[in-house]
Amino acid sequence: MGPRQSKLTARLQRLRREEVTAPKKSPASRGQKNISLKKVSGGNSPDQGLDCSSALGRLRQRLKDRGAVYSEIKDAPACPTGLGAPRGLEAVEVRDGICHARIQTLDSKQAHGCWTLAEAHQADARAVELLAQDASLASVRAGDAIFLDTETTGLSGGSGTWVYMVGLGRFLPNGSFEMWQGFLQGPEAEKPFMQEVARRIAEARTVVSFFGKSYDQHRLLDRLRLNGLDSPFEGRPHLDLYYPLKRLLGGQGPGPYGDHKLQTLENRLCGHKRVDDLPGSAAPEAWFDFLAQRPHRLEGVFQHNFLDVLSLVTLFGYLGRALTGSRVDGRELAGSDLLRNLALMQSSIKNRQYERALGLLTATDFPGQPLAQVLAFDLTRGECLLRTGAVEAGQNLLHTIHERAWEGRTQEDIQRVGLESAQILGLSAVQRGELALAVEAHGWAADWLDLWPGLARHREVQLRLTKALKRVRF
Amino acid sequence: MIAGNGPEGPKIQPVDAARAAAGGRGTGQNPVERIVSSLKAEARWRERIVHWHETPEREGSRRGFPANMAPELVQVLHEQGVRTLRTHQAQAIEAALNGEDVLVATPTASGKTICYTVPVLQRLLETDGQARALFLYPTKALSQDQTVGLTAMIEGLGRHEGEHAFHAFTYDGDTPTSVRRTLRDRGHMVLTNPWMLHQGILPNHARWAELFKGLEFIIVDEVHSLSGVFGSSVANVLRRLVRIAAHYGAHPRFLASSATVREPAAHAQRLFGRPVTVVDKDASPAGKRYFAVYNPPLLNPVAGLRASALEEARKVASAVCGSHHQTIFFCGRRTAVEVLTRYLKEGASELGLKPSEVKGYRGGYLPNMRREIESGLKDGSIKVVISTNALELGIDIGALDVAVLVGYPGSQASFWQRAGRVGRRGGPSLVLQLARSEPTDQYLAAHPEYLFAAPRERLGLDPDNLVLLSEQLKCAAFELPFQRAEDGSLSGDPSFGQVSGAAEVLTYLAEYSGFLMERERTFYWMADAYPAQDVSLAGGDLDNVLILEQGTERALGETDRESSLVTCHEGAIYQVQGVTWRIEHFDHQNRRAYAKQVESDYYTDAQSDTDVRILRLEECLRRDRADFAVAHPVTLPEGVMPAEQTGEDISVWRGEVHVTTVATLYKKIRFYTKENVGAGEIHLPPEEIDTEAFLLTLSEETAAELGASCSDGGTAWHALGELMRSTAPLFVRCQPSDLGLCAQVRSPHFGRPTLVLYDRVQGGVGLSDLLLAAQRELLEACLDVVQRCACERGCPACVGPVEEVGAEGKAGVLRLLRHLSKGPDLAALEPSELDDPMESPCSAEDFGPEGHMTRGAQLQE
Ligand SMILES: [Zn+2]
Repeated sequence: MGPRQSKLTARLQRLRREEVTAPKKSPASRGQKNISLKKVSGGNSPDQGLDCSSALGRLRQRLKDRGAVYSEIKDAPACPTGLGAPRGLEAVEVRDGICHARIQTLDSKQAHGCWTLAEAHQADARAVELLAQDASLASVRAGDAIFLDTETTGLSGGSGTWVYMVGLGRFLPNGSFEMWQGFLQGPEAEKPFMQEVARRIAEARTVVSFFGKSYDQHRLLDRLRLNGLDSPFEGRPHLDLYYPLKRLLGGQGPGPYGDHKLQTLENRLCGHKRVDDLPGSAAPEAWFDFLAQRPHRLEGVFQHNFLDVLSLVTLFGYLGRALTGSRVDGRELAGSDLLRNLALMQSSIKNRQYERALGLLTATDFPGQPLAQVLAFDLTRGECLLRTGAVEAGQNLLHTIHERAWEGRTQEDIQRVGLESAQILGLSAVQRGELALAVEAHGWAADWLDLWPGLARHREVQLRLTKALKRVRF
Repeated sequence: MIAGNGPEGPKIQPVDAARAAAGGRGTGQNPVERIVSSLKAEARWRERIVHWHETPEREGSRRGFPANMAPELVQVLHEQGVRTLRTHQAQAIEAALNGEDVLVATPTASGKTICYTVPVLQRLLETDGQARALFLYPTKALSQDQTVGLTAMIEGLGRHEGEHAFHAFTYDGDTPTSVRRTLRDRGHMVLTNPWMLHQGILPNHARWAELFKGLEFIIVDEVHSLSGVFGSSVANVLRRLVRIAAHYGAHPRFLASSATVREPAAHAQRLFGRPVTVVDKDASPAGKRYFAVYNPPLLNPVAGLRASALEEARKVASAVCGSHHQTIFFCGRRTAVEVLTRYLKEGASELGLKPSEVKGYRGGYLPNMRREIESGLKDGSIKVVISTNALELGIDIGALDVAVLVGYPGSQASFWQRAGRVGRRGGPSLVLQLARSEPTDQYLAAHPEYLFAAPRERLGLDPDNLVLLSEQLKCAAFELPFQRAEDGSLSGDPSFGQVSGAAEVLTYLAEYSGFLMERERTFYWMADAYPAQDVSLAGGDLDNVLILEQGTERALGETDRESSLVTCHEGAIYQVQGVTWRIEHFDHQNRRAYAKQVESDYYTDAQSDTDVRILRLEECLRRDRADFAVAHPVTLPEGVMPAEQTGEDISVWRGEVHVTTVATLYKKIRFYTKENVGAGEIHLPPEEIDTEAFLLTLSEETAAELGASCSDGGTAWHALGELMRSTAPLFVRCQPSDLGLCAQVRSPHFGRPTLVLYDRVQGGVGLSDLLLAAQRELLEACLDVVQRCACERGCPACVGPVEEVGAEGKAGVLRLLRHLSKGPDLAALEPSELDDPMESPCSAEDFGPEGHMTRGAQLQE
């Protein structure tokens, strides 16, 4: 560096107020930084979980202050660090260069938690289609799907967010399961990497991911576009397990699996427990360390990605058994029967298939379940009964719901069900000209509204009900 | 006047019959002429109006359409009433179609829109919809307005539907996600603003590939507003834009418009990084214009107190409002708009109007309400409108008859934008400027010629400010990796290749900041962050202080480092839209202040002291005592011999400085009564910035003869600094608050009285350069203000009230100015004669807080 250069650097440092004295490049200084990071994150205050001494740390903190999406390095588990290229990478020559990947073939009888991979073949496409509310999945099969999960350098997207690992799992014709984990050795090798990823996705009939419609697909599309490559997602059905599983587990209101994260679901539904898993949020740092030839934790990222893909397979299997409520060997599915029935029914109602909704029920009685959930289920069932012409049964059920709800009226989620049951009952009565019942139900609904002001739509229904009653009476 | 040929071309609707009548037919004399005669005749007005200026009616010159313009485009313009072009429009369009970058720098209402819509539509027709154009407007309202205009043109061309349709879309924060995709792929003309370009479009350019591939034109509206930090940041955003376009193989041209500015070509060159063709001869026809300056009466001549301009505006309304014409009042603040609107609505019947014919207009009103007022103004049903600068920008309201400017708007461009709201139709118009008790207003009351001469303000723009540049390079590297050439430079980069030091900044960002990684001569963004989100266009400083609600951590506001000392200390009252918050805790290290909402009947006023250390002096102008002796030296003490007329007299400098600001004490002051109800201590470490400054020094001998040595504790010296700071916007485009002041009676560096006016942006954005160039004009204006001021011993309109400057303050400032602004000009010094304190830094003790610290600029916002 000439004297002019160092002057500019010094000035820049002063102006940017960065108290850095030596370049960060050397592995040694970086190693020290990791140690200090760990020390900081040992503190109890969540605000101290970030390294604020570096410009990047400060930037992150400020992004956090402004409510931006960003990933935070939490207390990282004791994941081994390595140096140099990850082991077992194979090089494949593609059109514009070399793509690297770790390829493993697994026996599909292999267990992942308490499910085997092969059970995914027993998934019923009708269950998947119904719960995903996507007709293009009517004939989805594990055998011709690709299970996709990516690792990126951040959650915010945009041209500077790299996708450096793509896990693609698929069943091979011989019955085994192939795990292909593409790895980007450096930003300059992105085009061949993306070519191979796109080629592999395009070979499958369906893409299966977890939250991929909102995230992974967009990150990949950005990278493909930047490299002038076409989208393999165009015209290809995409099953994003997040939405149907959320539905299945009572997505509305606080369900038993409130966070609906992949790791919560794989654990609660498929019995898989991860040990020393490197959190996805540590992925950016691992790759940056690797590129800078510092000790890195890429092995942990490979493992994390590997497990994510396997969980996609077992969760797919789980989703596909929702209609029967049991696994192929007869064992019952983990999770709440009630919520599963509710989800099936609501999904059918969305398609206006009320008969089918009732026909899907594997049970109508759920002893020991929380009252609010039971009543919510009954309310949906009552609505279906009314819609299918079983008016008397429907009205009776709604009446019972109202009375049971009134007993437990202190809870807000019960108040909602109570109010809705009274209103639906009232509307049905008005429609059928049953004046006395209509007046009574209208009064109940008013009582509910005194307890809980309801939402705008509830107040609207109430207004409609009042008007209808006036019309009928005078 | 050529019938039906609206000045704004396609924007103008057919003239409404009612308005044509109001324009002067039938009633004999035109209402504006009638107002002018009564203002000139009646004693109560005649006494107040200190100046009349008239410009005669002007024909304007016209030309036919360029021969290569598509016939269907000419046809559409014909249908919209445009039969010929004004000469400047024709020149601009020809230059644009010729592939030149063009800046049209003509006044408001000269028909600038057509200068870029025609070339864009022409290219769209020529390429059958392959070409793309990106329009940048300073406000959302403007881009929405223009989208409507463009859509009308497209419909006129019959290209609004079908396979060959053209689409014009507004893209801003309100654009629904569902239509964004269509807009990205099918928007031929995308109308947006610099913020969306910076944070939304450029970082996601892959999604906008269709736009970038065909990008032929970048339209930048109102470029005179692009100065200071904002302008310097936008200049870098444009560099990024050109760079991304080049990545997609496009080399767009700039089509820009501006109000009349000083040196438009130089400004455009700095902004766009390349020379542009400037069209600045306005060929529009204009009606007769009357211009009057109204100075409110002196209520207290000793204290220099004048009647409030707002109160006078209410009085003058009786003369300038009426049912046969339209009047617009411009006020500086929203509250003033509300107050004046209420007054005038209440007194509507006395003006011969219905209250519904009087409307207020400002930002913060709901869009449909604003649209209603705009159309009421266009169709003539609203007779009086009271507005903030919201109506200054090019919202289409047609032309009005009388404009009353309550106070000088702070820049010549704003003044002309406001004045341009009247008199578009060839009829006479009147602009009445009401002066406030402020130095700039009083200067203009005495020198209205300032407004009519060529623009005097210099625009500051420094895209290469290291802080801004480094932040913008982060954003640019995020968007696309940077490649070094063989020699290590960035010479291959279409934008930053020309920027000196850019490669070193990237190296720094890689090696020191850790945002980038360099591999095989390529810099890649390698950080888990989205830099554009954190880089603001309004300020390059990463270290602003966030003010959060205690407990919820909800953000209430943000303030810069230096101001945080006086606004974020514990106990400070922080006000947001009438709600008062008390700062409970200031986490200085993490740059966050926590506030609790309180009912407070007082506000806080903190005192801060500022010290300046000179890091490097870069330019100097000097005058010797032999060239100009002090005319009337103050009496010297017994036995002291007068100094010889040798050596240095005064000098002015430009240089890099390190500014330290500390706050120690704050006062609690009751709202309305302003009584002092308590005080508190402030325990905060000093704030420091590195920036550029303009310095003025007196030699010891001259200082002694001018009485500027320690005798009065430096009050006159400080008052001079304050006066220069508040008068600077006449010659340099800035707000007084953009400049910091430190008045030293004995500077540790020079050992003499020194005034430091520094750029309050870390690293500076060129204000010091401009001050150095404008110093003589500025000092002359200051002298003029103080000399003319009617007050005896100082007032807010000149050197400040006597309570602050002392009994001798005004005389002291006058004595200084009579020497500083007179005599021969200062001469430039050779660079070799400058010393460089960086090479031999003074020891820290030189800058100890005692002795050198003088009363610093208060940084209250
Ligand atoms: Zn005065």
